[in-house]
Amino acid sequence: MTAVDPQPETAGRPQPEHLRILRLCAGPVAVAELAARLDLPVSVVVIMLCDLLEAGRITAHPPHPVTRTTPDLDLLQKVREGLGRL
Amino acid sequence: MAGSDTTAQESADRSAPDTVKILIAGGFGVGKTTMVGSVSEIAPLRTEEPLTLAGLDVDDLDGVEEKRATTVAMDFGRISVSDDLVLYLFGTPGQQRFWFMWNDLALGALGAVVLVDVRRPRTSFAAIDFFERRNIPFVIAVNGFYGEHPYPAEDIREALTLPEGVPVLLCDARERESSRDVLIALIDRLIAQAAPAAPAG
Ligand SMILES: Nc1nc2c(ncn2[C@@H]2O[C@H](COP(=O)(O)OP(=O)(O)O)[C@@H](O)[C@H]2O)c(=O)[nH]1
Ligand SMILES: [Mg+2]
Repeated sequence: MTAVDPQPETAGRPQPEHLRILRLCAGPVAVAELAARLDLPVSVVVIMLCDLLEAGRITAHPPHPVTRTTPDLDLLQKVREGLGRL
Repeated sequence: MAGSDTTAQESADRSAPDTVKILIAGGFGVGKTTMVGSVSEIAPLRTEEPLTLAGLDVDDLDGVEEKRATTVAMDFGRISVSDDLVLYLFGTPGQQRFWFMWNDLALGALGAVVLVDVRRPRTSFAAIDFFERRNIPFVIAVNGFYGEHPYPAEDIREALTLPEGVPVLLCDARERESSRDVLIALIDRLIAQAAPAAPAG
């Protein structure tokens, strides 16, 4: 999820929760992380995100697809190296 | 394809880092929250998810009130692997009635760590079964409470009747490095599976 910048002027008045989501969405962030930071159930956050999507205030990125049958070796190696640096 | 399309795609790739996820599973009290917390760069975030009736084994529960009150806690951790790659960790209760959540979480996951309490290995049977049935790669991390490991890894492999090739690691979920090594073992296994033809090293 990423907030659209600049925000569309036509969009209606957002709820405080919506504004909090938009602030947290300044950079790409996962739905589960949003839910945890807002201390709201994932299902509630999903509903609010749908409202924001409809209003054109955020964009949704599909999670990086990682299929189990053909794991991306480059990606795995990157994760491996990153963890090694921790 | 037009050049402008490529540019738009490239800038989209730059703004959104790749994300990968690993599941941390195991029975109640095996140390899932502890492990997510020890290795995550953010304080472990917890989110309470109300359960819907559809996901529940209805025979499991007695009264409607109880069903309504049921929530499931999920641990969430994050590791910035690099500038453009983020690893998410998800820990969720291991009870069978929560498997419907695991089904969603398992989509697109790299694999799983099944934590085992060395004193009560059976509490993680359900989790092992879940990943085995779905062909999701996993490693076993034996959490030695009080920092002790009374049994060698091979004994635990036998006790859990694990399929061959599933790595068994002895760990301390409280220790960042130990938890990190468990994640590395999982990635190493995935790399080995992704490149069976390539010689190791
Ligand atoms: N002594 C000791 N306690 C641990 C260890 N790992 C977890 N704990 C404790 O065991 C309890 C259950 O751990 P928790 O991470 O909440 O388990 P979860 O239910 O799988 O999330 C907590 O009180 C932890 O502090 C360990 O390696 N040694
Ligand atoms: Mg927990």
